[in-house]
Amino acid sequence: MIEQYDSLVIRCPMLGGEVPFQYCRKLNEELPCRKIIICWEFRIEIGKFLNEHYSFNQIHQALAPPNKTRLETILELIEKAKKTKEEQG
Amino acid sequence: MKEYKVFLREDEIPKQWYNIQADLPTPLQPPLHPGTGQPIGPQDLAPVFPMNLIEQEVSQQRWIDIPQEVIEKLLIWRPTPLHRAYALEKALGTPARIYYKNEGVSPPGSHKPNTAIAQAYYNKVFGIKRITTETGAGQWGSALSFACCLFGLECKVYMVRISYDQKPYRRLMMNTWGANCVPSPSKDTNAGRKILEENPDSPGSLGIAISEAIEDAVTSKDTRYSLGSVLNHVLMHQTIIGLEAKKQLEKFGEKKVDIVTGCAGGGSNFAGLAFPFVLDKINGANITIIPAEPTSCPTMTRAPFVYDFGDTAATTPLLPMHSLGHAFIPPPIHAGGLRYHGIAPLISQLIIEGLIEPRAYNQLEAYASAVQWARVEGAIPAPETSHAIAVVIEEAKKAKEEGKEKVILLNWSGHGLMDLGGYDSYFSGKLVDYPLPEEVMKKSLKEIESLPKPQAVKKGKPV
Repeated sequence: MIEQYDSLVIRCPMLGGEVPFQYCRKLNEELPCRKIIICWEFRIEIGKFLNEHYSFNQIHQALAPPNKTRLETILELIEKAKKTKEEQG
Repeated sequence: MKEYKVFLREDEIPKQWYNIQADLPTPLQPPLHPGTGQPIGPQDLAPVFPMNLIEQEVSQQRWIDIPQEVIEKLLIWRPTPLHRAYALEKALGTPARIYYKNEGVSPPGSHKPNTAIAQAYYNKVFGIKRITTETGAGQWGSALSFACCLFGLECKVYMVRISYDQKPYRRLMMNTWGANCVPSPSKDTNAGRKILEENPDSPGSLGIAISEAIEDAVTSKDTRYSLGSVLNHVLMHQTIIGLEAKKQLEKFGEKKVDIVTGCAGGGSNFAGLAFPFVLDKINGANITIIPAEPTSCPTMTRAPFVYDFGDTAATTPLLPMHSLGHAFIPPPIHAGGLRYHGIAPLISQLIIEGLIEPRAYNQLEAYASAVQWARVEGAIPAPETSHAIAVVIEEAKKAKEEGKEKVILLNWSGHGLMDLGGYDSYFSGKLVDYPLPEEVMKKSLKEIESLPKPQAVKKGKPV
């Protein structure tokens, strides 16, 4: 059952606060957080859990590094803002 | 009568920040644009930071005047007291003299407002009327809210929704200081709306919150974004801690200090205390300077020197730093302030130069140190501060073994009254130590193999 570990709590080092396992397994658009293995491998059989509940493609999608950096995203937003300002005259 | 603490008069507050970039034996390597791989220029950062802060970021000037308007705000709680930890010395039976700089006396309860005040001021004089930022559990968000309040700036804090729902007190602090703190994802940005359309119950993430804060900054009028650690100007604003401490040690009658320590996540509170003493070390003083980190997040003590992103969400420019890679998330430590996966580039360079000597402590040892501290000195430290307390106890015991009267200086970076849940987990035995296995680190580092590698340079020569 996919909810088997949901009540376990961990300190999320990104947030600086406690979160339930449910947060970690749904963080990434309903797929697991990209860091789920590193955070949980010492507490539960995380590899087994992932294999039981997700397809290879889902695991790959969830754990793969981002294909675009945040700075690239920022630069895109800057360009968008410039266009908006131009449109507003 | 023994002196337990030394205050400075208000007119003795430092009037300049110390910029260690002027004294680095090897200048910092420039950040790279992630798209072109070329060094970034001021205009690349201009949409998210005011130009006066960008100028500070790259300045090579040793001393930079603290504007009078900033000093007037800092005087609300600064100069902070320097305490002598007599009770801890007695408990340890050490001949060492232990001093700690109490940064927990600021209104938000930590060192963070030292830079929040400065950043709010520089934004204001640049004509900015509104600042955005992201926050997890709320320490940085509350500091920036406080600072914006003092300068009459609007502040918008995107707080990760799960923390927003679970941790109301820092949110209420932000509200009290007039900030608009919203759960992220929010309906206020395209990034947030997109997430909510797909999942109205999304608990959010730091990555989403950063995206929202930056989108807001670049698309809103007179708005910029603020970051609370890692960047050079942020570390420089914190040097007021060490500059005050030097004056206070003199008032205590100390002629030299042997050990300087602070916890290091992104590096700002450690840098704030340590950099003025690093200058002394560069000039020949015999000081051991120790940034402390958790064994589960060994960004300084085990990782190689690589280019990496300045935050977990890879938002900031590529910076040369000691890091495990932006894919790395440390195991479940109870020290939120140490959650940065990569230490500040300035601190990386000091490690390479051999000017500072990082150490790692496991979380049980750190909590044990924090509890020991609280039971003799009284104040309950923030979980991240406890790693530096572990250094103090270790060094004090060593001084006892050696029979040496060492002088130890600690940055007590904040109180732990908003983090008592972590203490509860420690007392109830829920904490487990997670030393990072070698294979996990290697796995994480694979993700950044394709990024350009800087040449580590020590005293002007490649190493």
